[in-house]
Formats: sequence, structure tokens, C-alpha cells
Amino acid sequence: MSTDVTASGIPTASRPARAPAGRLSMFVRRLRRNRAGLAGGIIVLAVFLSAICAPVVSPYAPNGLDFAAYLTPPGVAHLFGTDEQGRDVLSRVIYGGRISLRIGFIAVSIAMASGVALGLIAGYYEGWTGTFIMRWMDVMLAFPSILLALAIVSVLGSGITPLMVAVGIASIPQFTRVAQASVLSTKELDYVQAARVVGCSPAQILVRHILPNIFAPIMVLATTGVAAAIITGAALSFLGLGAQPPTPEWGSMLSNGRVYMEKAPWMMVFPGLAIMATVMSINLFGDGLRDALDPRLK
Amino acid sequence: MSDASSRIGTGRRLTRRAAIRGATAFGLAAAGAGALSAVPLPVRAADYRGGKLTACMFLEPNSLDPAAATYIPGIVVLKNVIEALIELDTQGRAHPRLATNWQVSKDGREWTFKLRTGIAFHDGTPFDAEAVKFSFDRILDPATKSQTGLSEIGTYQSSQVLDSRTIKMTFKEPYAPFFNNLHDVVLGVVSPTAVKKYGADFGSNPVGTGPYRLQEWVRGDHVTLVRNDKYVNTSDLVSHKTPPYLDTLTFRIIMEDATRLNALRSGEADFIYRVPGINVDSVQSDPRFQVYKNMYAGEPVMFLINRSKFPTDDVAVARAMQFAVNKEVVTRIATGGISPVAYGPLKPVVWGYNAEVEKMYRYDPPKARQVLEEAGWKAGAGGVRAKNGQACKMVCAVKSDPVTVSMLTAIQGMLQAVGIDLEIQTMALPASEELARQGKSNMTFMEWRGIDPDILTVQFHSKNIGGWNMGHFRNAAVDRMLDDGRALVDPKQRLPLYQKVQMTIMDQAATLPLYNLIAVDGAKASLTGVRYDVYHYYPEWYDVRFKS
Repeated sequence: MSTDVTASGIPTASRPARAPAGRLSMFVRRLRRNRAGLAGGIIVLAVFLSAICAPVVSPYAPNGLDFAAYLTPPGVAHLFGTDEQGRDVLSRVIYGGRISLRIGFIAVSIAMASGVALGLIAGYYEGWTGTFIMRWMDVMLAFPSILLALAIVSVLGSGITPLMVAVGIASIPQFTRVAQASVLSTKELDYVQAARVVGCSPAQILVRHILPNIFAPIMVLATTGVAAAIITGAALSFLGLGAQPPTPEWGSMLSNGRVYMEKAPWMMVFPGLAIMATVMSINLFGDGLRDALDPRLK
Repeated sequence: MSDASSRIGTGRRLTRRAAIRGATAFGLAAAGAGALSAVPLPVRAADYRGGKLTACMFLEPNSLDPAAATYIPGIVVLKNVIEALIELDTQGRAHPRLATNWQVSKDGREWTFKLRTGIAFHDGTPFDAEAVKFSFDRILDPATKSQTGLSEIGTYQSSQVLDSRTIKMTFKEPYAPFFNNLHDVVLGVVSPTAVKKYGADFGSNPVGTGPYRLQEWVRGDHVTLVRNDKYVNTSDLVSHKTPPYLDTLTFRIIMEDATRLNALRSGEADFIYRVPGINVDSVQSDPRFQVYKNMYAGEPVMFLINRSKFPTDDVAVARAMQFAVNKEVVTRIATGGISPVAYGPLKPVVWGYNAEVEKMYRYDPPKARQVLEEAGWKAGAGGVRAKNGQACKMVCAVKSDPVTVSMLTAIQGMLQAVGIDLEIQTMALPASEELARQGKSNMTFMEWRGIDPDILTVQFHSKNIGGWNMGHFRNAAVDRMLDDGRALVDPKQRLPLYQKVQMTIMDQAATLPLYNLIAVDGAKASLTGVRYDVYHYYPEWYDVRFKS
């Protein structure tokens, strides 16, 4: 793979059609030029790795109660201090990353899978099918996604799985909109018309010809969607509707810490920083991705 | 009454009580900043009149109909709007309020009250015996949806209006706690005209004879009361007889502990209920504020253990929980260690408290394991014990308040250490209570106010299963003792029953008592005249004013 990239990555002034490998190399180069995007990517990667390797890198068990270590300030033994149960905040922040990232990715996968499918159909069949789907999406878009997620959680009950489903459902309309708009602009292009003339079925056209060509904007949306889903998930957990104790989750750690805000600010500061750093770097990375994928920004 | 003494919360007793629990043990706390300025001045009401007070409550009232209000904040507000027939001082002695004198028949089934005259409700309806009959009868009406009222009115059957200022109440059976309960605003007198006018909305438009009347209740935000300038004072316990000093009383609802505290610090609030335990030190040491600490009368903070649901239907599991939980740690997490550990279903300040319960269970994890082991709960997968192939897994539906969740998380860890798996499900308070009523929760958060041990009926009598007996506790001996206890009028006969009941409840491990909550309220140092009610639960606002 990498040899392909270097082999065909010679800058040859704007030629409309390029081999896939050439496009990839161009993308990588553009992304590398965007320092903020790159930094974001690196931080995201670091959070990812620490979440995956949590059992190895975290100094303590995330739920190990040690009542003697009640509200210990940050120090050598506990870099981020301890909470009211004497649990190590650093270990909980690291483990919390697992939950938050999982919420972000699974919720977005749910949203992307259903949203894009609906968008493809709505875009391709412009008649009443499309209108019906899009008006439904308008109804969903009329509610702030956190409100929509709250309503769904209240039906499904609290817990991480319902929370992921709720956040996922709440983010469907964005994906549908983007996919539908992209299909509308793509489907009149010659190669799609050609495919139709050749006798391809609508499913084939949608999946083989249209989908790959509308992939870029959807990837960008998915990246920023992960950040938004992490925030919504943390907000719901903060309200007690997501992760249940003793699960370490950044939002519920924040919620727990607010009682001790004065005496033990570290209980809020570190999970708060973790949310901020993760969400910000995902967004930076998403911006970098958009710039790199946008054909107008050559 | 001087400022300093009015702030001291004392252990309380009822007049006819033998058992007197020392006041000092619980009342030490009162040292606030304003203690030095306690020189009694001759009160000239007109000089002090004026001022708007903002007090912050920790929960929204669920109703402002005295008969239907179950959450404390509703009672706190209504104390100013509605009046009861009698009033109890902090020693538990009865004083006239809307009734001037009273008589009880020999068999304890008939109470006759003489009422005050020349008093009107806020809407102009005259106060008379018909209004009293109406107010009491409506508690029995299922449409009123009364719970606390229904339990406090006991075996009340009907009332007879003898003349406009005399009423005779008849009881199916003698009901000992009735007279003391009469002071509670839950059994207060409401305007019949207003009840008929508002119907089901009376809970949003309470009309009584009290010193304040309702101006507005903005849901989720505040309740504002304005002074009733036509108020005729009916209380012996206040220091002045003219209408109250403060022009308005605004009760803001701020559920978030830290936000409520900040309202006091920023000057937005003049008084806050429930200073978070962890912050008491810093408020106390700040000269701008004073704190009031009271171990109010009632039941401790506890988790009712559902004795009808697996696995806590096995008494061994319920008992093992008593040994497994380190209550010192729990009270440190929940109250900053201010509130002492509790061992029984009543607080020590309630008449009839049996100190023997303190000897039954102490923190002893090996003992907990032994109790489980002997009952056949053997170590199983993941450290969770199992019996007959069923794992010892329980669930607790609980309000998503961080302090409650924190202490429950600690309990979860302590239970895990002996092989019991506890799943915590956080949700809104009413949802958790509904699950508990349906018997779907193994543990239910509970605290209750009350001055008579008869309050145990509310949580432990089987007739209240589906209501406030959220532990679904069913024990024939306990039912009988509670029934007998409320039917007997002689305290000497009642005492042994309640002593025994507490032992049986703990022997059956129907509840996991945690700590005897000392409620800490905070106020600006400039506030004076605060006097607590008979429960030592909430201040009476009548004599309260700002020092100029």
C-alpha cells in the first residue's frame, strides 16, 4: 500500500482523473500540511491507545475502593488525586476514555448506517418517498439532539447501550441530509446516467456508483459526529441517564465531582479536561480531513 | 428568646415522655457568627417591619395542598399559609392555634375542640367549625390523594359540627398519635370555598388563614408568599402579635447543592436549606453567615431492604448487609462526617427510641461472609455468591442525586467485598419511588420526619405495601404491635411495644439505617429571630427579620 502511494504520488498539475492511490497520497500530504489537524489526529490516537491499553497503562483498578485515601490531592501516589471513594482519578479517566470513545463510535455508526441509507433512498427517489423521509428528518432536526436523545433514553431506560442507541438515533437526520444532498447532485452526472442506461438496478447504482462518490462529506460529518456524540453521551451520563455507577465515565465523573468541587477540584478538572481535549482534537482532525478531502481546496 | 438559644437544635421529647434524650449531644453545633449579638431588645414590631426574604429549598414541592403534599418543601411553604388547630413548642407541649381548648372522651374516641372566632381565610371565607369538618373529611376522600394526611389522621371517622365554634371528631378506634399530629400543617384547615373553586388545582392555589398568602408558584423556580395584612395572630409561641415582619417570603428551588450554596455566598439567598455536609466548615467559619444544625425528629437516612424480592427475601442476605456496610465511611461521604451513624429505624431524638438496636449489628465483613456462608450462599463466579444456582445480585433504583449515588457506590463496593452484587440504577426521584412501590427495587432510599414512633407504621406496616412501605415488609408481629401502639393512649403501655417493634424490624433486617441526619441550614448573619419547629426541621418565619 505505502509503496503505491509513493510511487504514484508525484505532483502532476491538475489532472482531473487520478488513480485512487494518487488521490490518497494527495490526501495524506494535505493532511500533513495542516498542523492543527495533525495534532488533533495524534491526540485522538493517544486517547485511543490509552483506552485500548487501559489495563496496562492505568496505575490502579478504576473501581478499587480505598476509603483511607478519601479525597487525596494530586501527588506522586495519585497523579490526578483520588475521589470520595478513594479511587484513583487518573485510572478512571483512562478507563473512562473506553466508554466515551465507544459511545462516540457506536452512536455514529448507528447514525451513519441508518442516516446514509435513508439519504440515498430519499435522494434517488425524489417523489413522495423522498419527501416523506426528508420531512421526517425535518421534524427530528427541529429538536436539539440532546433533547431528542433525552426523550429516547427515557423510553429505553438508562445505561450505556440505550444511551448509544439514543445518541445514534438523534444524529440520524444530519447524515440523511448530507447523503440526500450529495445524491441529488451526483445522480445527474454522466456516469450515473450511463450506468442506468446499461441497465444497472437502482440498488447497484446507489451502492456501487453513487455511494463511493459521496463518501468524503460523510466521513467528515462522521468525524465531527463522534465528537458531538461524546459530548451528548457525557451530558446524559452527567444527568444520571447514561453510565451507571461504578462505571467510570467522564460525564458521570463530572457529575460526581461537582459535590466536592471546592474541596477536591481535581475530581472535576481532569474528566473535564479529558472531554475537552478529546472533543477538540477530534474536531481539529475532522477539519483537517475536510480540507484534505475538499476538491475545491487544491 | 435570644438569637443564640433560638439557633440551638435540641433533642426533643414529648410532654408525657419518660425517655429524655440529652439535648447537648446533638445541639452543640449552634455556634454561628451572630451569637454575640444576642441581647434581647424590647420588640416594637413597627420598627422591624419590611424586608424580602429569599430562602432556597432543595426540592420542588409536589403539591401545595396540605392534604396531598408529601415532600418536605411543600410543608415548609404551607406552614406560612395554612394553620393547624394546635401548635407544639420545641418541648412538645401543646399550645392553642386555631383551636382554643380541647377535650377527649374517656375512651379516647371523641375529641371536642373549641375554635377561635373572628378569623377569615385569605379569600374572605370565615373560619368556623364547618371549615374544620370540611378540611378533615376531605383527607379521607380518595380524590384528595392524601398519603401523609391519611397516615396522620389515623382512625378518624367523622366530625360533627356542634355550633359554629365547636366541633366533635369521632374515631373508629382510639388513635394515640392524633393529638400531636394535629399541629402538623398536613392536618391544617383550608378554605372550603377555595377547594370547591379550584378543585384539583387547589394544590397550586392553597388558601388558608396563615400569616402569608400565596402570590405565585412558578414551577421549577420559586414560590412567593406575601404577608397577609389582615392576619390575626393565633400563636402563643411568637414574640410579637402584629402581622409578621417580612413583606414577602420567596422560596427558590435549587436542587443542585453547590448552586444553592453559591446563592447564599453571592447574597442572592438570605437562607438556604441543607448546606452540603462537605461545605459546612467553610460556611461556619465565614463571618458573613450563620449555620443552624438540627437533628430533626424522624427516621434516619436509610435504605429500606425489600424483604419480598430475591435475594433480599432471604433474611441472611439482609442481615449480612448490616454487617458488611461501614456506616462511618458512608456518613463521611454523604455528610462530611457531621451526622452520627444510625443503627435502628428511628432517630435517637424520637420518643421511644430503643438504644438496644445499637448492639445488634456492627461493621464486621468477616461476620457478613459467615452469615452468608451459613445460609448456603457459596462463593461463585466473579466473586458473587450464589445459592441453588442463583447469583446474589440485587438492584437499587435511586434518585440521581450525586450525594446519594456516591454513598450508594461506597455501599456497592462494601457489598461486593462480601460477595453481594448491587446494581445501581439512577433515575428521577418519582420514577425510583414508583419502582419501589411496585417492589422492583431491593433497596429504597428513605428518610421520614415525625415525632411519634407511630411513623414506623408508614414504612413497616404491611397495609402500606404499594405505598410508603417500599421495602414490601410483611411481618404479622410488627403489624400487630404497630396497630396496638397507636390504639393505646397510655405512654407507659405504648413504650414497650415500640421498643419491641424496633428490635423486630432490625432482627428481620427490614432496613439498612445509615446515619441520623443532622440538617444544616445556612443564613446571612444579619438574619435574626429564627426559631425551629417541633421537629427541629424547619424555621418558623414569623419573628424573622433583618438586623438593620
